[in-house]
Amino acid sequence: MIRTEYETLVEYALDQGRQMMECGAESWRTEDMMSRMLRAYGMEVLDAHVMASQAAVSVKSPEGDHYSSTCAIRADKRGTNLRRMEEINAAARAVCNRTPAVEDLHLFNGVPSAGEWSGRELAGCALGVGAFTVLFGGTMMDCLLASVISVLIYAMNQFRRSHNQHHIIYTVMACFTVGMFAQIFAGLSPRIHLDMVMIGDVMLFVPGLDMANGVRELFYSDILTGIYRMTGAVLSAAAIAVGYMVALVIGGYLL
Amino acid sequence: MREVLIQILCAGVGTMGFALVFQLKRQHLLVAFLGGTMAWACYLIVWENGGGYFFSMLVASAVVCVWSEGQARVRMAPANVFLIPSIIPLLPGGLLYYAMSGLVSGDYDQFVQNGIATLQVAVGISSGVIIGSEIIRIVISVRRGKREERVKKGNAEGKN
Repeated sequence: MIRTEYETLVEYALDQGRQMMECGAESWRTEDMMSRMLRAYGMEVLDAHVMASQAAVSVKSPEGDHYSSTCAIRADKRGTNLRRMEEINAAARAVCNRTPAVEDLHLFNGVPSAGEWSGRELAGCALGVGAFTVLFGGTMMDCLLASVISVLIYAMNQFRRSHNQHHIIYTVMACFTVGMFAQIFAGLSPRIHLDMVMIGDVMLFVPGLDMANGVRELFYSDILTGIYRMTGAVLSAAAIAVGYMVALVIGGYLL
Repeated sequence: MREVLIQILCAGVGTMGFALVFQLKRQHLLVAFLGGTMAWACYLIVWENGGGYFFSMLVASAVVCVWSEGQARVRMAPANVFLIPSIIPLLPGGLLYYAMSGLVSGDYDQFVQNGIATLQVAVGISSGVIIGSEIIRIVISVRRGKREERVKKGNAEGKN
Protein backbone atom coordinates (compact mmCIF):
# COMPACT_ATOMS: atom_id res chain seq x y z
CA MET A 1 0.00 0.00 0.00
CA ILE A 2 1.15 3.54 -0.71
CA ARG A 3 1.06 6.56 1.58
CA THR A 4 -2.23 8.03 0.29
CA GLU A 5 -3.93 4.67 0.75
CA TYR A 6 -2.81 4.49 4.37
CA GLU A 7 -4.08 8.03 4.90
CA THR A 8 -7.44 7.15 3.32
CA LEU A 9 -7.70 4.08 5.54
CA VAL A 10 -7.01 6.07 8.71
CA GLU A 11 -9.56 8.71 7.69
CA TYR A 12 -12.12 6.00 6.90
CA ALA A 13 -11.68 4.38 10.32
CA LEU A 14 -11.98 7.77 12.03
CA ASP A 15 -15.11 8.65 10.07
CA GLN A 16 -16.75 5.33 10.96
CA GLY A 17 -15.85 5.97 14.60
CA ARG A 18 -17.36 9.45 14.46
CA GLN A 19 -20.59 8.10 12.96
CA MET A 20 -20.73 5.33 15.56
CA MET A 21 -20.45 7.89 18.39
CA GLU A 22 -23.12 10.06 16.78
CA CYS A 23 -25.47 7.05 16.81
CA GLY A 24 -25.07 6.58 20.57
CA ALA A 25 -22.26 4.00 20.90
CA GLU A 26 -19.89 3.90 23.87
CA SER A 27 -16.38 5.29 23.36
CA TRP A 28 -14.53 2.07 24.28
CA ARG A 29 -16.57 0.12 21.73
CA THR A 30 -15.79 2.70 19.07
CA GLU A 31 -12.07 2.64 19.89
CA ASP A 32 -12.12 -1.15 19.65
CA MET A 33 -13.89 -1.05 16.27
CA MET A 34 -11.42 1.46 14.81
CA SER A 35 -8.41 -0.48 16.10
CA ARG A 36 -9.68 -3.78 14.68
CA MET A 37 -10.21 -2.22 11.25
CA LEU A 38 -6.72 -0.74 11.15
CA ARG A 39 -5.04 -3.91 12.45
CA ALA A 40 -6.81 -5.92 9.74
CA TYR A 41 -4.65 -4.03 7.22
CA GLY A 42 -1.46 -4.86 9.08
CA MET A 43 -1.11 -1.54 10.85
CA GLU A 44 0.17 -1.29 14.38
CA VAL A 45 -2.28 0.83 16.36
CA LEU A 46 -0.21 3.05 18.63
CA ASP A 47 -3.21 4.89 19.98
CA ALA A 48 -6.93 5.03 19.23
CA HIS A 49 -8.66 7.42 21.54
CA VAL A 50 -12.30 8.43 21.37
CA MET A 51 -13.93 11.01 23.59
CA ALA A 52 -17.47 12.34 23.48
CA SER A 53 -16.38 15.32 21.41
CA GLN A 54 -13.28 14.07 19.56
CA ALA A 55 -11.67 10.99 18.03
CA ALA A 56 -7.95 10.55 17.41
CA VAL A 57 -5.91 7.73 15.98
CA SER A 58 -2.19 7.18 15.60
CA VAL A 59 -0.82 4.17 13.70
CA LYS A 60 2.39 2.71 12.28
CA SER A 61 2.37 1.03 8.89
CA PRO A 62 4.29 -2.24 8.20
CA GLU A 63 6.82 -0.06 6.33
CA GLY A 64 7.46 1.85 9.58
CA ASP A 65 5.74 5.14 8.63
CA HIS A 66 3.58 6.92 11.17
CA TYR A 67 0.13 8.31 10.42
CA SER A 68 -2.17 10.16 12.77
CA SER A 69 -5.39 12.07 12.39
CA THR A 70 -8.19 13.54 14.51
CA CYS A 71 -11.81 14.45 13.95
CA ALA A 72 -14.41 16.36 15.95
CA ILE A 73 -17.67 14.75 17.03
CA ARG A 74 -20.36 17.38 16.94
CA ALA A 75 -22.63 17.38 19.99
CA ASP A 76 -25.62 18.64 17.96
CA LYS A 77 -25.33 15.66 15.58
CA ARG A 78 -25.47 13.10 18.39
CA GLY A 79 -28.61 11.08 18.94
CA THR A 80 -29.80 7.49 19.05
CA ASN A 81 -29.93 5.66 15.74
CA LEU A 82 -29.77 1.93 16.40
CA ARG A 83 -30.16 0.94 12.75
CA ARG A 84 -27.15 3.01 11.69
CA MET A 85 -25.14 1.75 14.67
CA GLU A 86 -25.78 -1.83 13.59
CA GLU A 87 -24.96 -1.03 9.95
CA ILE A 88 -21.62 0.55 10.87
CA ASN A 89 -20.78 -2.37 13.14
CA ALA A 90 -21.61 -4.85 10.35
CA ALA A 91 -19.56 -2.80 7.85
CA ALA A 92 -16.57 -2.80 10.23
CA ARG A 93 -16.89 -6.57 10.62
CA ALA A 94 -17.00 -7.03 6.84
CA VAL A 95 -13.98 -4.76 6.33
CA CYS A 96 -12.00 -6.72 8.95
CA ASN A 97 -12.91 -10.07 7.38
CA ARG A 98 -12.42 -9.17 3.70
CA THR A 99 -9.89 -6.30 3.87
CA PRO A 100 -11.15 -4.81 0.58
CA ALA A 101 -8.99 -2.49 -1.53
CA VAL A 102 -8.86 1.00 -0.05
CA GLU A 103 -10.64 2.52 -3.06
CA ASP A 104 -13.57 0.14 -2.42
CA LEU A 105 -14.02 1.11 1.23
CA HIS A 106 -16.78 3.58 0.37
CA LEU A 107 -18.91 0.58 -0.71
CA PHE A 108 -19.05 -0.43 2.96
CA ASN A 109 -20.27 2.97 4.18
CA GLY A 110 -24.02 2.53 3.86
CA VAL A 111 -26.27 5.55 3.64
CA PRO A 112 -26.91 7.62 6.75
CA SER A 113 -30.56 8.64 7.05
CA ALA A 114 -31.23 12.23 6.09
CA GLY A 115 -33.54 12.81 9.04
CA GLU A 116 -36.67 13.19 6.93
CA TRP A 117 -40.21 12.57 8.26
CA SER A 118 -40.83 8.92 8.92
CA GLY A 119 -44.23 7.31 9.53
CA ARG A 120 -42.48 4.53 11.42
CA GLU A 121 -40.86 6.95 13.89
CA LEU A 122 -44.09 8.89 14.27
CA ALA A 123 -46.05 5.70 15.01
CA GLY A 124 -43.31 4.69 17.46
CA CYS A 125 -43.64 8.02 19.29
CA ALA A 126 -47.40 7.68 19.67
CA LEU A 127 -47.25 3.98 20.58
CA GLY A 128 -44.42 4.37 23.10
CA VAL A 129 -45.85 7.42 24.83
CA GLY A 130 -49.37 5.95 24.92
CA ALA A 131 -48.18 2.65 26.40
CA PHE A 132 -46.05 4.33 29.06
CA THR A 133 -48.94 6.62 30.02
CA VAL A 134 -51.03 3.51 30.79
CA LEU A 135 -48.05 1.83 32.49
CA PHE A 136 -47.68 4.72 34.95
CA GLY A 137 -51.40 4.63 35.81
CA GLY A 138 -53.12 6.73 33.13
CA THR A 139 -56.54 6.01 31.63
CA MET A 140 -57.29 5.37 27.95
CA MET A 141 -58.24 9.06 27.62
CA ASP A 142 -54.83 10.09 29.02
CA CYS A 143 -53.16 7.60 26.70
CA LEU A 144 -54.92 9.08 23.68
CA LEU A 145 -54.10 12.67 24.57
CA ALA A 146 -50.46 11.87 25.39
CA SER A 147 -50.15 10.12 22.01
CA VAL A 148 -51.62 13.12 20.19
CA ILE A 149 -49.20 15.46 21.97
CA SER A 150 -46.31 13.12 21.10
CA VAL A 151 -47.05 13.80 17.42
CA LEU A 152 -46.53 17.49 18.16
CA ILE A 153 -43.24 16.65 19.92
CA TYR A 154 -42.13 14.68 16.87
CA ALA A 155 -42.93 17.63 14.60
CA MET A 156 -40.91 19.94 16.87
CA ASN A 157 -38.01 17.48 16.87
CA GLN A 158 -38.02 17.35 13.07
CA PHE A 159 -37.95 21.15 13.00
CA ARG A 160 -34.97 21.08 15.38
CA ARG A 161 -33.14 18.58 13.16
CA SER A 162 -33.69 20.57 10.00
CA HIS A 163 -32.79 23.93 11.60
CA ASN A 164 -29.92 22.67 13.78
CA GLN A 165 -31.63 24.10 16.85
CA HIS A 166 -29.74 23.87 20.14
CA HIS A 167 -30.72 20.68 22.00
CA ILE A 168 -31.25 22.28 25.41
CA ILE A 169 -33.29 25.18 24.04
CA TYR A 170 -35.38 22.71 22.05
CA THR A 171 -36.01 20.60 25.17
CA VAL A 172 -37.14 23.64 27.20
CA MET A 173 -39.44 24.82 24.39
CA ALA A 174 -40.87 21.38 23.66
CA CYS A 175 -41.55 20.65 27.36
CA PHE A 176 -43.16 24.07 27.73
CA THR A 177 -45.43 23.41 24.74
CA VAL A 178 -46.32 19.93 26.00
CA GLY A 179 -47.11 21.36 29.44
CA MET A 180 -49.37 24.08 28.03
CA PHE A 181 -51.26 21.72 25.72
CA ALA A 182 -51.73 19.13 28.47
CA GLN A 183 -53.11 21.81 30.82
CA ILE A 184 -55.51 23.18 28.21
CA PHE A 185 -56.93 19.70 27.51
CA ALA A 186 -57.01 18.79 31.21
CA GLY A 187 -59.01 21.98 31.80
CA LEU A 188 -61.51 20.95 29.11
CA SER A 189 -62.24 17.51 30.52
CA PRO A 190 -62.10 16.30 34.13
CA ARG A 191 -61.45 12.78 32.83
CA ILE A 192 -57.95 13.78 31.79
CA HIS A 193 -55.20 13.47 34.41
CA LEU A 194 -52.63 16.17 33.79
CA ASP A 195 -49.80 14.39 35.61
CA MET A 196 -50.27 11.13 33.67
CA VAL A 197 -50.26 12.87 30.29
CA MET A 198 -47.15 14.85 31.17
CA ILE A 199 -45.34 11.81 32.58
CA GLY A 200 -46.12 9.82 29.41
CA ASP A 201 -44.74 12.57 27.21
CA VAL A 202 -41.69 13.26 29.38
CA MET A 203 -40.39 9.78 28.52
CA LEU A 204 -39.44 11.13 25.08
CA PHE A 205 -37.06 13.62 26.69
CA VAL A 206 -35.51 11.66 29.57
CA PRO A 207 -31.76 11.36 28.81
CA GLY A 208 -31.52 7.64 29.51
CA LEU A 209 -28.76 6.86 27.02
CA ASP A 210 -26.41 9.61 28.21
CA MET A 211 -27.00 8.60 31.81
CA ALA A 212 -26.37 4.87 31.31
CA ASN A 213 -23.39 5.37 28.98
CA GLY A 214 -21.96 8.14 31.17
CA VAL A 215 -21.82 6.04 34.33
CA ARG A 216 -20.45 3.08 32.40
CA GLU A 217 -17.67 5.19 30.95
CA LEU A 218 -16.81 6.62 34.35
CA PHE A 219 -16.62 3.05 35.64
CA TYR A 220 -14.27 2.04 32.81
CA SER A 221 -11.99 5.01 33.74
CA ASP A 222 -13.02 7.05 30.72
CA ILE A 223 -13.51 9.97 33.06
CA LEU A 224 -13.72 12.86 30.59
CA THR A 225 -16.29 11.21 28.34
CA GLY A 226 -18.26 10.02 31.38
CA ILE A 227 -18.38 13.52 32.87
CA TYR A 228 -19.26 15.00 29.46
CA ARG A 229 -22.21 12.64 29.08
CA MET A 230 -23.37 12.94 32.68
CA THR A 231 -23.28 16.74 32.43
CA GLY A 232 -25.35 16.48 29.24
CA ALA A 233 -27.86 14.25 31.04
CA VAL A 234 -28.14 16.64 34.00
CA LEU A 235 -28.58 19.62 31.65
CA SER A 236 -31.30 17.77 29.74
CA ALA A 237 -33.10 16.87 32.98
CA ALA A 238 -32.84 20.51 34.09
CA ALA A 239 -34.20 21.64 30.71
CA ILE A 240 -37.20 19.29 31.10
CA ALA A 241 -37.83 20.66 34.59
CA VAL A 242 -37.55 24.30 33.45
CA GLY A 243 -39.89 23.77 30.46
CA TYR A 244 -42.54 22.00 32.54
CA MET A 245 -42.19 24.38 35.47
CA VAL A 246 -42.68 27.49 33.35
CA ALA A 247 -45.71 25.85 31.68
CA LEU A 248 -47.22 24.93 35.06
CA VAL A 249 -46.65 28.40 36.50
CA ILE A 250 -48.06 30.23 33.44
CA GLY A 251 -50.88 27.70 33.10
CA GLY A 252 -51.69 28.15 36.79
CA TYR A 253 -52.24 31.89 36.22
CA LEU A 254 -54.03 31.72 32.89
CA LEU A 255 -56.17 28.58 33.09
CA MET B 1 -52.81 -9.95 38.74
CA ARG B 2 -54.64 -8.47 35.74
CA GLU B 3 -53.15 -5.08 36.53
CA VAL B 4 -49.64 -6.52 36.68
CA LEU B 5 -50.09 -8.22 33.32
CA ILE B 6 -51.35 -4.96 31.78
CA GLN B 7 -48.31 -3.15 33.19
CA ILE B 8 -45.91 -5.72 31.78
CA LEU B 9 -47.64 -5.67 28.40
CA CYS B 10 -47.55 -1.85 28.34
CA ALA B 11 -43.84 -1.90 29.19
CA GLY B 12 -43.23 -4.20 26.21
CA VAL B 13 -45.37 -2.18 23.81
CA GLY B 14 -43.83 1.09 25.01
CA THR B 15 -40.34 -0.32 24.54
CA MET B 16 -41.26 -1.40 21.03
CA GLY B 17 -42.58 2.10 20.32
CA PHE B 18 -39.32 3.67 21.46
CA ALA B 19 -37.38 1.09 19.47
CA LEU B 20 -39.21 2.39 16.38
CA VAL B 21 -38.27 5.95 17.35
CA PHE B 22 -34.63 4.83 17.65
CA GLN B 23 -34.93 3.22 14.18
CA LEU B 24 -34.32 -0.34 15.33
CA LYS B 25 -34.47 -2.86 12.51
CA ARG B 26 -37.77 -4.69 12.08
CA GLN B 27 -36.29 -8.12 12.81
CA HIS B 28 -35.21 -6.95 16.29
CA LEU B 29 -38.56 -5.47 17.37
CA LEU B 30 -39.69 -8.65 19.13
CA VAL B 31 -36.41 -8.73 21.07
CA ALA B 32 -37.06 -5.13 22.15
CA PHE B 33 -40.58 -6.07 23.24
CA LEU B 34 -39.28 -9.01 25.27
CA GLY B 35 -36.52 -6.85 26.77
CA GLY B 36 -39.06 -4.27 27.96
CA THR B 37 -41.39 -6.86 29.46
CA MET B 38 -38.47 -8.59 31.15
CA ALA B 39 -37.18 -5.31 32.62
CA TRP B 40 -40.55 -4.38 34.08
CA ALA B 41 -41.32 -7.91 35.34
CA CYS B 42 -37.94 -8.07 37.15
CA TYR B 43 -38.52 -4.62 38.61
CA LEU B 44 -41.98 -5.61 39.89
CA ILE B 45 -40.75 -8.90 41.39
CA VAL B 46 -37.92 -7.25 43.34
CA TRP B 47 -40.05 -4.25 44.29
CA GLU B 48 -42.83 -6.50 45.66
CA ASN B 49 -40.24 -8.27 47.78
CA GLY B 50 -39.17 -5.02 49.42
CA GLY B 51 -36.30 -4.20 47.08
CA GLY B 52 -36.81 -0.43 47.02
CA TYR B 53 -36.02 1.81 44.06
CA PHE B 54 -32.26 1.32 43.96
CA PHE B 55 -32.15 -2.46 44.26
CA SER B 56 -35.17 -3.13 42.01
CA MET B 57 -33.68 -1.02 39.23
CA LEU B 58 -30.27 -2.55 39.73
CA VAL B 59 -31.57 -6.11 39.35
CA ALA B 60 -33.88 -5.25 36.44
CA SER B 61 -31.18 -3.45 34.47
CA ALA B 62 -28.54 -6.12 35.22
CA VAL B 63 -30.88 -8.84 33.92
CA VAL B 64 -31.71 -6.80 30.82
CA CYS B 65 -28.02 -6.08 30.23
CA VAL B 66 -27.12 -9.80 30.34
CA TRP B 67 -30.06 -10.53 28.01
CA SER B 68 -28.92 -7.78 25.59
CA GLU B 69 -25.33 -9.03 25.55
CA GLY B 70 -26.64 -12.54 24.84
CA GLN B 71 -28.85 -11.29 22.01
CA ALA B 72 -25.93 -9.26 20.64
CA ARG B 73 -23.89 -12.43 20.26
CA VAL B 74 -26.74 -14.40 18.73
CA ARG B 75 -27.73 -11.65 16.29
CA MET B 76 -24.24 -10.25 15.59
CA ALA B 77 -25.11 -6.67 16.56
CA PRO B 78 -23.81 -4.26 19.23
CA ALA B 79 -25.36 -4.90 22.67
CA ASN B 80 -26.49 -1.27 22.88
CA VAL B 81 -28.95 -1.97 20.06
CA PHE B 82 -30.93 -4.17 22.45
CA LEU B 83 -30.01 -2.54 25.75
CA ILE B 84 -31.04 1.05 24.99
CA PRO B 85 -34.73 0.32 24.23
CA SER B 86 -35.00 -2.27 27.02
CA ILE B 87 -34.08 0.12 29.84
CA ILE B 88 -36.56 2.77 28.69
CA PRO B 89 -39.42 1.53 30.95
CA LEU B 90 -37.11 1.84 33.95
CA LEU B 91 -36.31 5.52 33.35
CA PRO B 92 -37.54 7.78 36.14
CA GLY B 93 -39.93 9.98 34.09
CA GLY B 94 -42.70 9.94 36.69
CA LEU B 95 -40.39 10.64 39.63
CA LEU B 96 -38.74 13.51 37.76
CA TYR B 97 -42.16 15.00 37.04
CA TYR B 98 -43.37 14.74 40.65
CA ALA B 99 -40.08 16.18 41.96
CA MET B 100 -40.46 19.15 39.67
CA SER B 101 -44.16 19.50 40.45
CA GLY B 102 -43.30 19.61 44.17
CA LEU B 103 -40.80 22.36 43.48
CA VAL B 104 -43.38 24.44 41.58
CA SER B 105 -46.14 24.00 44.16
CA GLY B 106 -43.80 24.67 47.08
CA ASP B 107 -44.21 21.14 48.46
CA TYR B 108 -40.55 20.63 49.30
CA ASP B 109 -41.13 17.23 50.94
CA GLN B 110 -42.49 15.94 47.65
CA PHE B 111 -39.59 17.55 45.80
CA VAL B 112 -36.92 16.05 48.07
CA GLN B 113 -38.52 12.59 48.25
CA ASN B 114 -38.99 12.28 44.50
CA GLY B 115 -35.67 13.94 43.73
CA ILE B 116 -33.81 11.42 45.88
CA ALA B 117 -35.84 8.56 44.38
CA THR B 118 -34.92 9.82 40.87
CA LEU B 119 -31.25 9.72 41.82
CA GLN B 120 -31.64 6.23 43.31
CA VAL B 121 -33.27 5.00 40.11
CA ALA B 122 -30.59 6.61 37.92
CA VAL B 123 -27.73 5.17 39.96
CA GLY B 124 -29.53 1.80 40.23
CA ILE B 125 -29.96 1.50 36.44
CA SER B 126 -26.35 2.49 35.76
CA SER B 127 -25.00 0.12 38.42
CA GLY B 128 -27.14 -2.71 37.07
CA VAL B 129 -25.83 -2.13 33.54
CA ILE B 130 -22.24 -2.17 34.84
CA ILE B 131 -22.82 -5.36 36.85
CA GLY B 132 -24.51 -7.05 33.87
CA SER B 133 -21.64 -6.08 31.54
CA GLU B 134 -19.07 -7.37 34.02
CA ILE B 135 -20.88 -10.70 34.44
CA ILE B 136 -20.79 -11.19 30.67
CA ARG B 137 -17.14 -10.09 30.48
CA ILE B 138 -16.16 -12.65 33.15
CA VAL B 139 -18.17 -15.44 31.48
CA ILE B 140 -16.55 -14.70 28.11
CA SER B 141 -13.08 -14.55 29.62
CA VAL B 142 -13.56 -17.88 31.45
CA ARG B 143 -14.90 -19.58 28.32
CA ARG B 144 -12.06 -18.18 26.22
CA GLY B 145 -9.52 -19.40 28.79
CA LYS B 146 -11.03 -22.91 28.75
CA ARG B 147 -11.02 -22.96 24.94
CA GLU B 148 -7.37 -21.91 24.79
CA GLU B 149 -6.48 -24.53 27.39
CA ARG B 150 -8.26 -27.20 25.31
CA VAL B 151 -6.37 -26.10 22.17
CA LYS B 152 -3.05 -26.21 24.06
CA LYS B 153 -3.84 -29.70 25.38
CA GLY B 154 -4.78 -30.83 21.90
CA ASN B 155 -1.53 -29.48 20.47
CA ALA B 156 0.51 -31.14 23.23
CA GLU B 157 -1.21 -34.49 22.62
CA GLY B 158 -0.63 -34.10 18.88
CA LYS B 159 3.13 -33.61 19.42
CA ASN B 160 3.30 -36.65 21.70
